[in-house]
Amino acid sequence: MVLSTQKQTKRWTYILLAGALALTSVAGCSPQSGGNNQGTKPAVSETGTDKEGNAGGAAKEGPVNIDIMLPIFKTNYPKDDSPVAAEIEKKTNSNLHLEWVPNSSYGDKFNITLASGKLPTVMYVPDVKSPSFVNAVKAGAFWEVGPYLKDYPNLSKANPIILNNTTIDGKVYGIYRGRALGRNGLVYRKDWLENLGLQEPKTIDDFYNMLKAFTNDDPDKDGKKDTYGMTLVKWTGGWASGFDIISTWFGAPTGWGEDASGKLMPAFLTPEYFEALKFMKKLYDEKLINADFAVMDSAKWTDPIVNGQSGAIVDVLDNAARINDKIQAALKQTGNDEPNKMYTDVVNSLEGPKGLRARPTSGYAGMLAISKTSVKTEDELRRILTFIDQMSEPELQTLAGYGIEGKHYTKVEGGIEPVKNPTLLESEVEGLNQMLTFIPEDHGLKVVQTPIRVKQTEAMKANEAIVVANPAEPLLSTVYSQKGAQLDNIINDARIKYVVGQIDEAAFRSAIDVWRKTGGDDLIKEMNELYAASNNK
Amino acid sequence: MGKRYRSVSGTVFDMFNYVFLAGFAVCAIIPFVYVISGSFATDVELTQRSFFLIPKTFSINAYTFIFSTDTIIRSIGVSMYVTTVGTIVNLFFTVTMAYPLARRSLMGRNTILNLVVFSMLFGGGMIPTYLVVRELGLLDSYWALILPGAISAFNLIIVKNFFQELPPGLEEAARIDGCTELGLLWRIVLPLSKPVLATFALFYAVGHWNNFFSALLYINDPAKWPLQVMLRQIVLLSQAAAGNMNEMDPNFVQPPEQSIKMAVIVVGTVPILLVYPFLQKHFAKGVMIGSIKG
Repeated sequence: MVLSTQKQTKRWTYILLAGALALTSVAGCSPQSGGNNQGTKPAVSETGTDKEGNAGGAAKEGPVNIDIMLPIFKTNYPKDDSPVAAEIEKKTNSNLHLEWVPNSSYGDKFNITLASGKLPTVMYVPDVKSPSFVNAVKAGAFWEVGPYLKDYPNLSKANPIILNNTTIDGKVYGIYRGRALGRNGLVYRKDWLENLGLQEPKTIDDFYNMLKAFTNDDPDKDGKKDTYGMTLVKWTGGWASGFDIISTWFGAPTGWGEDASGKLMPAFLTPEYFEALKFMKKLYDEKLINADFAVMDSAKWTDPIVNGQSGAIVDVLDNAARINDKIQAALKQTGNDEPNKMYTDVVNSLEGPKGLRARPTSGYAGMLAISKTSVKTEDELRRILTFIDQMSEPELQTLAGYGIEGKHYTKVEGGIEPVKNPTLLESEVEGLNQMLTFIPEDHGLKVVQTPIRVKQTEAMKANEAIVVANPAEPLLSTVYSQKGAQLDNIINDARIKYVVGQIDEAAFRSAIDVWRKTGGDDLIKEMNELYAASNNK
Repeated sequence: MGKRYRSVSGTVFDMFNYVFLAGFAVCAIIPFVYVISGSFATDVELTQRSFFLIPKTFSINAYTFIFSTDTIIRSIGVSMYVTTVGTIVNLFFTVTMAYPLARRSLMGRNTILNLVVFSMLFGGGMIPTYLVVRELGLLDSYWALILPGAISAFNLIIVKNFFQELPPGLEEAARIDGCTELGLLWRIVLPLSKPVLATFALFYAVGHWNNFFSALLYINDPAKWPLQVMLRQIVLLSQAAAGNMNEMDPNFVQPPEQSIKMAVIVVGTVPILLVYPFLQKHFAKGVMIGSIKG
């Protein structure tokens, strides 16, 4: 009796376990039949081959299938069959499949897509120098497009500096998405400057005097000493680069510079850099910048200037229009707004000991790479490149940027005016501009430009002539990929401590020695080898 | 005297406790109140005042904007679906695996248990898991969010231990009364395990509700994104905007307004807050292992 119950128990437990397993596998299979997206995939990956088999048209090729992976910044996104996407397909003779990935998580998705080996036809590469992309390139996952660019009317006009910036071992593996090179500069409160009766700053000294007046002379005329000169945020190198822009004005190189013998060295070893640092210390000591800059979150960078606490920021110039818009919005609530008044103004660069200099951006925001797994032949590659090239036509730039006339925008004097329906724009237009390369430039229609927008565009153009390019930008350092973050921290810490007065010049120098010993010297050596190799090519 | 004598020090101690706990509660609540009131404020006020609990202005623009398309509503639907179905699947598989494993008579029980523990210590990692999910054809399917984590090894062991603690006498009594094995599980064991089930239902549900990463990896069709992916997208966008301007196009991408971010957070948090109080009372009973149960 006892024995038989035990047996029974055993049997039942096995049945339960087996049931659980069986259910797992059943549940695992069922969605396969339901997942209709799976079915379309194989067709998409065989890009270029004319599958449509058009009966009569022997001359005309069928639409090229393009599966494109792009970042999306909003929560709504244009679908494959939405009107603007359909219009683009018609004009470029293509069959688009848009794979949207939230921008906030693009990096993860990018890595996993690379690892999975099933790549879309065209893929946006956010960080051209990231190890995962470089490895994929070295494993032959992407087409080297460099030699082909010359055959296309727009792509052949790509900027050589930017192209060079995007290279991996001297070769171009994607088409960069161009951005203004001279985008950095000074943004300040124009109304304050007028209140104080000052002139637009031209030199670093003017700049200093302006910040001083913004702090001490009551620029907002409320009788209270409640303002300060300039807002700075956490310095983490690379971006949030207020200080770096200023150091370029002082004559320091951008990132890396050549010394007298033509060897590369990092900017902070130059005396000009230290001059800039001393200048920052002076600003801090005289309370012309916010005391909490070392912990200030960059998301709040523009808030003080919008709120009338601070008078200037040194950052990308297009912040001027954004800040102006916000000030206008705040004034509108109280009914005091003057829509045509400029509350902000820009200066592209300030004259320092070496004349006018500007710190460039890299000139591009990622690039579009074409995968070898889904684009098998050169013919297919050429069709994809034709598509990307066509997207640089003014008409298509306008289409991808602003949508269809009459539906998403209206033409007015001096440009276009988008309809005031954010939901419609988000779900049919916004995001499509992510596939634009702006090579050679953005020559589509533009929204009507406010005075400040006109001025900031001019300032960016003016900067382009005086940018100091970073010679090390295309170099891929192994040492930096291993120890870069740690090395940067040493310098970032030391300069913050120097500015706030926790350490003196000697201690700053010894921090540089620490940097050298923990890998900095190796980095300099490696960079110079890479630099010499790239110059000999 | 019906009242029990209380020492002065005891009273002081109690007072201190009340003050301390109240302070703690306030600290936990204030940020949430700020988010709620911020979601009803205008963006201008949010930039001008760094912190407030009661907005001077009142606007429901943020909510109007959120609900102007079906995107957020649909993603809430997705989240609810995945949470409900996922939790049921989780509980089913956890119980059906834990129950046999609780029986000492099961052959190979230790081997299976060791395999389970092994999976807690060593995982395949993101990419191999992705490959498995892809090969199973689960990409773009809600099952990709449910099945890979259908059983949590840790939860399984706790449930198994709970089943083991049930007095064997109950089982024998039921069997003498003619109960079948399934009936034993369904009529005797599960009713006794309500606190455990409630606790793990909540654990699993919160896990599903908060999970965004697997959706990000496995779901390519934006129409199937759960709420957390949307939430992350909206909340993180403004940071990207300020942090790396170069990534973006100067003319086109504008970060969403602060109030919209806050409204989305409220919308994303409220459902799970509504469920919590109903399951909370089971908590203390449910996760207690190996000590004396009152």
